[in-house]
This record gives sequence, C-alpha cells and structure tokens, in this order.
Amino acid sequence: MILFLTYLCCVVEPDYFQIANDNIDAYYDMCVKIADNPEDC
Amino acid sequence: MKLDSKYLKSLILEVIDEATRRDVLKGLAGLAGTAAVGGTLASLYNDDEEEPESLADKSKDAPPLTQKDVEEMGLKPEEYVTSNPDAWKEPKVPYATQQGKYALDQLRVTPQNLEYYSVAPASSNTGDGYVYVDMGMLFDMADQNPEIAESIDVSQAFFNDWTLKRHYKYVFGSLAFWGTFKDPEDPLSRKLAPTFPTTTNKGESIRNVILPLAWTVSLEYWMERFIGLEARLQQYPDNTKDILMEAELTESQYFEMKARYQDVISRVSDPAIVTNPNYNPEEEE
Repeated sequence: MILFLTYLCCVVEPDYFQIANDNIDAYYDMCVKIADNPEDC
Repeated sequence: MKLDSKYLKSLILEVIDEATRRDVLKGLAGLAGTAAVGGTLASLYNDDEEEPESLADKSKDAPPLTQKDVEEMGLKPEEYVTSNPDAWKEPKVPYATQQGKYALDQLRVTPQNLEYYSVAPASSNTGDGYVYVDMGMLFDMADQNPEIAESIDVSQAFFNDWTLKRHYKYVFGSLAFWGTFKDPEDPLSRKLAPTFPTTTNKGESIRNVILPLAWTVSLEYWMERFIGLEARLQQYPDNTKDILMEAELTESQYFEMKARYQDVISRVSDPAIVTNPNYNPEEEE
C-alpha cells in the first residue's frame, strides 16, 4: 500500500507543462462566457 | 660712372619701399582669402570645440557582433566574436532569492474594490473564471505606492534559480494555487482569493476568482524572460541546445511555449473586461 501511494505521489506526477498549455487553450471558452466584451476574447 | 652715395641710398630706400608696399598688398589679399575660408580653417585648429566622432566612438555603443554577423561580413570569427563563453546564458536579477521571495509575498494581495478586471489569459478545468489586475493598473498603483513599485522590481529575483519551464508551469499550470494569498501582516495566513459572481447570457452562474498582484507580476516577468530567450536564440545560434537546456525545454516544448506566448501577448495587450458587481465607489480612496 505504501509503495502504491509512493508510486502515485512521486511517479505519476501531473504534467504541469501540459496543464499550463491546456489552461491557456481553455481561455476562449471561458472568456466568451464572462467578458463584457466577448468580441475581444 | 661713379655713383653718388646719396643717390644710391635714396634708390635703395625707394626699392625697399616698393617691395614693402607690394608685400602689404599681398598680405591684405592673403588675409581676405583667409577670412573667406576662415570658418573652415579655424575649425581645423580650434582645440576648444568637440572633436568629430571617430569611427571607434561611433561604434562603441553598438551591440557586439554575433557569429552570424561576422560570417556574413566575411571576417575572421576568432578576431571579432565576443570571447565570453557564458554570454548566451540568461542574466540574473541583482537581488537575493530571499529578497525576491519576500517582495513577491508582499504582492500576494488582491484589490477587491475595482470596477473592472481583465480576463486572465488562461482558464482552468475547475469551471471558475479567472480575472486579474493588469500591468497598467498595477503600475498606476505603484505610482501611488513606492512599496509596490519596489516589490515589482525586486520580486523578479524570486525566479533567479527557476528555469523558464518551471516559471511557465507556476503561472499557468496551477491557477487554483493562485487562488490563495498571504496576508502581508501575517505571513503564515492563507486565504481563498476573493471572488465575484457572473451570470452568462445563457443563465449560467460562474464564479470569477480574482488573481493576486503576484500573479500579474509573475506573468509579466515570464513574458519578459521568454522575449529574452528568443533574443539569445537568435544571437547565439551555436548555443541553441545550451539555451534550451538552461530553460529546461525540449525543442518541441519550446515551440509549444512560443505558440502560447503569442496567444498570451495578444490577450494581454487587448484584454477582455469583466465588470465587478460588488464595486462600491464610496469605498474607493
């Protein structure tokens, strides 16, 4: 169990570089929802 | 014929007078000529005036030649290229990392009573919207508060030991982390960042998280660092691998980051705006 948790914590680390890319790519969908001027999104 | 000494003397004097008169006329003509070009001549001999810039003076402020420049000019690289082997490396901010950390912590605050916020150039899969105080507004605050101005400057040192990739992940990879901030009066405190609601045109209710000033500064400095990376890649093409390795980027990651940089820079320079429904003009100082 401990080995499994260690594996989860240390080996399966989230790929924050890919998450950063995805977050930047997710801008448009959210922007058009919340912006006063969605045409500038 | 025997010459009379008096006659001879007067003859000599007459010759001398004539010679003198001609010399004076020549001298006057010479002076007139000199006066005509006097400005030019005077400038040649006038030590008081600033000397014309030499080629060396003109070139002293010019940037050093790159390997590419030298090759294009047909010169010998060993004679013209800068010999500093570390010239390709990213320069460090001249403050200690701890100073940078303290300065960035001072900016982990979120102004809540602004009428408008800019839409952050990234979102997340949490369903929340993210808004921030853009650099223009932050500079306005810095104009009124010298401590903010100093913190903006010094906080860059926080990233001195960070690769560009780590910096990128810090700014965009965990927006939820930026949802917390430290109270400057109590460094151990951590709170959720303030939010305000928005209802979309489809009737959906969304929570907008206001990112702290520290996020704005970190974003701005990431963009600055990326521009620097681009410049060094152009200036030192022979060190491309070294430069990318220092930034902790593979070539494909560099191109991915470059595409995102272009997206971000366009969003930051022409931001979409969100009105804060909780804005109270009476509370504004």
